[in-house]
Amino acid sequence: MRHAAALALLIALAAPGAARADGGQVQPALAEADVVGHTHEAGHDHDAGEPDGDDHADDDHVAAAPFGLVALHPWTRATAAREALVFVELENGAAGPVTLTGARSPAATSAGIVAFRLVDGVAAYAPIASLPLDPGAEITLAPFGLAIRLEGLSAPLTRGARLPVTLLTDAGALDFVAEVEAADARAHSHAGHSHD
Amino acid sequence: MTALGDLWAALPAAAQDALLLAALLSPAPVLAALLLRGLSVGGLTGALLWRFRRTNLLFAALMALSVGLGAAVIAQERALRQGAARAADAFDVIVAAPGDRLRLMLAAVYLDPADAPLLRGEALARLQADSQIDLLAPLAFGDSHAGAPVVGSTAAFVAHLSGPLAEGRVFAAEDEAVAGARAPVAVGYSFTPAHGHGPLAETDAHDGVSLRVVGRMAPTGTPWDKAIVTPVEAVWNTHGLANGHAPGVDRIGPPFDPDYFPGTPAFVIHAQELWRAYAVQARHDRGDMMAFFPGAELARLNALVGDVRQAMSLMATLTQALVAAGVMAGLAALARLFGRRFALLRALGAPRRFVLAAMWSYAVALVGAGCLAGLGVGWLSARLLSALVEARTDLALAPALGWPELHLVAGFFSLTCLLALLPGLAAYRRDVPSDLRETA
Repeated sequence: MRHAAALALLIALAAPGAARADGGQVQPALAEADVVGHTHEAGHDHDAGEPDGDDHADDDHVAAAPFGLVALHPWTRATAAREALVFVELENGAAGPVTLTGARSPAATSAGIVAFRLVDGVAAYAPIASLPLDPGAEITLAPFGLAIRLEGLSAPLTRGARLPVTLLTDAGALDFVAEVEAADARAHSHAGHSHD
Repeated sequence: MTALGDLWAALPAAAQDALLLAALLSPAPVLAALLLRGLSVGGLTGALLWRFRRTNLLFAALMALSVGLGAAVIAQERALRQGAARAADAFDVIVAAPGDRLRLMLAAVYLDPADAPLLRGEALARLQADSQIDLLAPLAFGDSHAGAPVVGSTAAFVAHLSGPLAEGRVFAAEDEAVAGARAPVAVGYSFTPAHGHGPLAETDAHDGVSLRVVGRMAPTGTPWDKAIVTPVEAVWNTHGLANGHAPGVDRIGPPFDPDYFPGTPAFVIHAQELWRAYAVQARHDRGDMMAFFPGAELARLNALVGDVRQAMSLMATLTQALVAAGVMAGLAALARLFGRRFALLRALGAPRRFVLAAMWSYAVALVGAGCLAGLGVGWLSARLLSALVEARTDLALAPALGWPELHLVAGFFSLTCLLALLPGLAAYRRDVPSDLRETA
């Protein structure tokens, strides 16, 4: 009897240890101070009666700068950490090359462009100062690739919230609003939709 | 709370790991301070350890094995992951005809034979025109010699892969070759490559072709150590194709002439700066060819199998917990045997806590010895496992016990220190008069 109790205690004690080993993060549902309020689902009706013609002209899935740079499907992951990676599809519709030089966000103390690399077998995102986009080029900032890293977030990012980000380029700035997806998301929930 | 969190986040990783280790170990000294305060149980604990030395050795060995094997499996998994990733270091970007990236990565980085469609002159022209590429080298695989893959590429790629050669020089003519550090050919040796790999390779397909080994690369810790690298022109020539240069041009290596370019299954690209590698990748990852980072593919794969890793650490923890429970059950049985002696001590005036403290110290001494020996067993088993894996994969592994294993062992030690109270309590609760009566 005593042994059974000992075993039960062990297993109960071992379980949190195992959770710690996997690096899992508990996501407390906290308020969204600097993050724009949750309005996305309310204004989202593109599945109703228009299965093919997704029209995102009046929402935040597309943002275009007057100088020709277009941002599509910006997204990030819900997190309680102080830093986050923002991903987005970019198209350079300008006649000449556009060079990405940095980023900023009112929700973060600093921001910049980073690129994924394995350093001695360990995954890491290293900052890059600039990234040229040829005219007509499309580039996808995505996990295990390029990203905008926000540091010093003023509040946790909760799923469904929206995060304003500004991409800086040598031709000017491009504002867009990133959708906060699930903490384990691998892509924007609307990725793959047509925006023509 | 946030301030504490920030402070924690600002600490270097090693400091976080060390603090976590200290926190995991902390229950033992706290318990010891509470139990042993004002008592001197060393003599009795030592006597118990000596009196039951065979059983004690068995218990300690059992724990050492379970702790050691758990730590070794985790250490080995990490060593394999890092070794595999290091092998991809020399391959910034791989460009190939559209298809299976993973397949192409296995072929280029790990030299796992694969049939792949060829990139032609048009692709070559675009890549050669890209000023942001510092190294552009075709990788032409498909031939072998004595079990070693024979791969066509350029002298610059050999220098990029190996750095300074360990022996001889890099190839300077179409009929020369450079051996990998562990390739089964010596400098000065001449051979005819076989078409294909393994037992089905056609050894007579390239009759009349003879390549001479003129140098040997330094060890890279990758499957390329077993390869033989030849000028890509030799591979094309061997297969009766144009050699990448216009007739009358008598040299090897880049630039190649797109009009006389027979094709290659893959190019490896190196750019000095990270942003340039990304710019190049983005520029050439298009409909008719794919450009990708092998490192990113590996990391994506690692993320996918991360769940398996978690299951593995959970199983290691549970196995250790089971062994610890078994050992504690054994100690509780031993405590019964001591019952009469402890009763005698109590009758002579020893406080109850003395019995508890002595049993606890005895159990903790066994657990501590088991954990320390377990680290040794873990280190040895990780080396052994790595040697086996290295022999099978040609990857250089550097197995070492790291923080995760130390945390695992520390957590196990603290858990069992708590559990060690159970046999102590068993002795503590015994009824002195009845124990004494049994003695009489």
